[in-house]
Amino acid sequence: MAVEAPARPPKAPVPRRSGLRHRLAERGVDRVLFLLVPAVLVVGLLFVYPMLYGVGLSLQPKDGGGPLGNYTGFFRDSYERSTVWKTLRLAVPAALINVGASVPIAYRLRGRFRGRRLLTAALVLPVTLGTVLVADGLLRYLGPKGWFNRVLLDTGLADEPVRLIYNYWGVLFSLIITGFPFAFLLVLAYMSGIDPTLERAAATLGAGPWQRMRRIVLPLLAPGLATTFVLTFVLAFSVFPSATLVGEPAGETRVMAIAAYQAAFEKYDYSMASTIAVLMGVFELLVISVALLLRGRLYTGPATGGKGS
Amino acid sequence: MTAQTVLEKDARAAFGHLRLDGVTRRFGRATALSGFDLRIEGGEFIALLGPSGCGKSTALNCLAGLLPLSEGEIWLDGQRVDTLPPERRGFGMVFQNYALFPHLSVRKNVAFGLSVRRTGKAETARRVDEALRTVELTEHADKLPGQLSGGQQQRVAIARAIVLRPKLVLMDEPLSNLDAKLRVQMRTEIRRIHQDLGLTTVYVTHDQEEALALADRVVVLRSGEVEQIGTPEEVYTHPASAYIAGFMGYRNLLELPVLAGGGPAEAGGRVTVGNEGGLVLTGVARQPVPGPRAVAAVRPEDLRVAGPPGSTAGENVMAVRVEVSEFHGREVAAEGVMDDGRVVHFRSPERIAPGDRVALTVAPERVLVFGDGAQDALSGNGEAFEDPAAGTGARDGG
Repeated sequence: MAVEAPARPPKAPVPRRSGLRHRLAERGVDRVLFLLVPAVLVVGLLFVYPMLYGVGLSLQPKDGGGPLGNYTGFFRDSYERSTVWKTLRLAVPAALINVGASVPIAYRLRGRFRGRRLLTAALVLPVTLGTVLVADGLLRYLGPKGWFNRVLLDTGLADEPVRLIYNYWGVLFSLIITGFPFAFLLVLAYMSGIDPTLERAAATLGAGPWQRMRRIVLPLLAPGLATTFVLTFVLAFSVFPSATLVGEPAGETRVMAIAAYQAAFEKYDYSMASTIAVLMGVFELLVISVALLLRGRLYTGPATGGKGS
Repeated sequence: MTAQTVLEKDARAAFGHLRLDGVTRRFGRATALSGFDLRIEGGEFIALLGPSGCGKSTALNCLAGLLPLSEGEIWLDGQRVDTLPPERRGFGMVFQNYALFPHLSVRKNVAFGLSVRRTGKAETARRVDEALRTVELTEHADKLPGQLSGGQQQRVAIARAIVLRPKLVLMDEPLSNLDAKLRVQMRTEIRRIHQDLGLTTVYVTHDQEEALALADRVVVLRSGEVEQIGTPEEVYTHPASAYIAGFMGYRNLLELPVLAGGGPAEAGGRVTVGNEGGLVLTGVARQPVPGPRAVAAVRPEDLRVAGPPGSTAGENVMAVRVEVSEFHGREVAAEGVMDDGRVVHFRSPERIAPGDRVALTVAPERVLVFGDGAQDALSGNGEAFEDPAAGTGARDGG
């Protein structure tokens, strides 16, 4: 159109204007973009601004010591530093267990059968319960006088009550109970995306159930498992209520979220609290990048074996 | 074909015969396949033919072990196989959607069965190369299935099945996802591989043209029961029922009262059907026609245009008004309507136009009369089969 324009001087302005609009539209710039405005505003006001504000706050230590004073302070103080390890020690196993336990159950439930809906609903129920209710239940069930310990004592499997609450184990159980439904639903969705005829084809080629699982289902499921791990890990990493309620918030389950809370609302050091929050994000991103890097090495195409898919 | 000699020997020695004994499969209260008996000789090519829902895929899945039988037994020579899981039957299967493993290269797809069996590296490489050469995919060996065209994927699926030298190859509508031209090419390819490797093949299809072209014997299924078993010629020229005739090219199925003949003594003889003073057709009945009504089946190409109405009189004459005429090269395919509203399909070497009135004649030996199932043959015809006339029509040229 630009080439044509000089040949017809009187009409030049019209094609040029529509030409610009045309070129913009080709790059996806048109009036439909205005639909993005509300979302951009919400994200900007409720996420980007507070986050940048928090990062800025973390660089202005209350006690001075330069912009990075809080960060060096956090790592120099062994009590604070240990929260990183305590959090990872809870979040990574919890995410791995949730993903690992979801695989066989989702594998069994992937087909159609009577009662599938009911069973799925039962497995997903804990999502609706909330952490506090789960924590309360755990305290009663796993406590020294709870069913679990009574069974152990009565059957003679243990001489004295096993301590499973107000410590690491209580928090881990709580994370598994609340995190499993998410992991299960995701894995079930990924599992259902695998074409069932692939397994049947593998069977006619001589592969038994275990071989089919290992050579066909798991490789096709692996990228989905990595994604599921990342999501459940993030959920578990920011654990706060259960670490307080069924854990030992002053000792072995003093996770980063508790440290941040104490800095903000017990020491009124918002700058330090922001620093810990920023560090939480950094460590989460580290673990997530590792998981996604591994995922990138896997086959991530469609999990169907046919034409046109 | 020197590379195939190893495959050949093994496959030929595989088995003497396979016997299906009253194989039945029910889904809830519905019976998908009932009392299916068949004896397959080693080296045979069997086509299971029928519309969707006739039980042909159920039969194949039962053979493969992917569906347990409700009743019946499957015997391979002296061994009962219906109780074995699919992985222990040693049958190869080609799926309708190919079911290639999307995360494995072509080579690894083909090698899958061998690596499950822990075949040695050198042996695996040799046999995979051989199979890839057979289906002419050597240069695509390292691609993923997603990078191949439909026809190539199909050939991978075949290579993956035959590399194991299976006793029996099961194919579930393998050509239905290909376009028409490729379908004919691959059909020839499948028959060639079957012959060269001496395989025994059971092939499921709803396309009668495919079944007739490929098979040594065709098994026509209908609502889970066997309707006819025979060579392609038998099924094509002597369909056992009006239903089969309907999709073997006998496009004109006319239900009429019986006027003469058709008793048990006259089986195989002449039967006359029609209305007094109206259409009267004399044809051949291979089975007795017991009822008062029968179906006369006539192929469009057996009807001859005799001229304008009234130019011929007597039996086997139909007067029609041309409704539609299609140009088919050397001839015209036309649809006419009789005075009583019945539609007749016929061919004409001369140009005819809609609105023309013509008289059609047909030789009595070209009319098949069926006494059984007159009603359901008419209602069933065409509803599930994908354009039965088009397929057989194309055969007539060759």
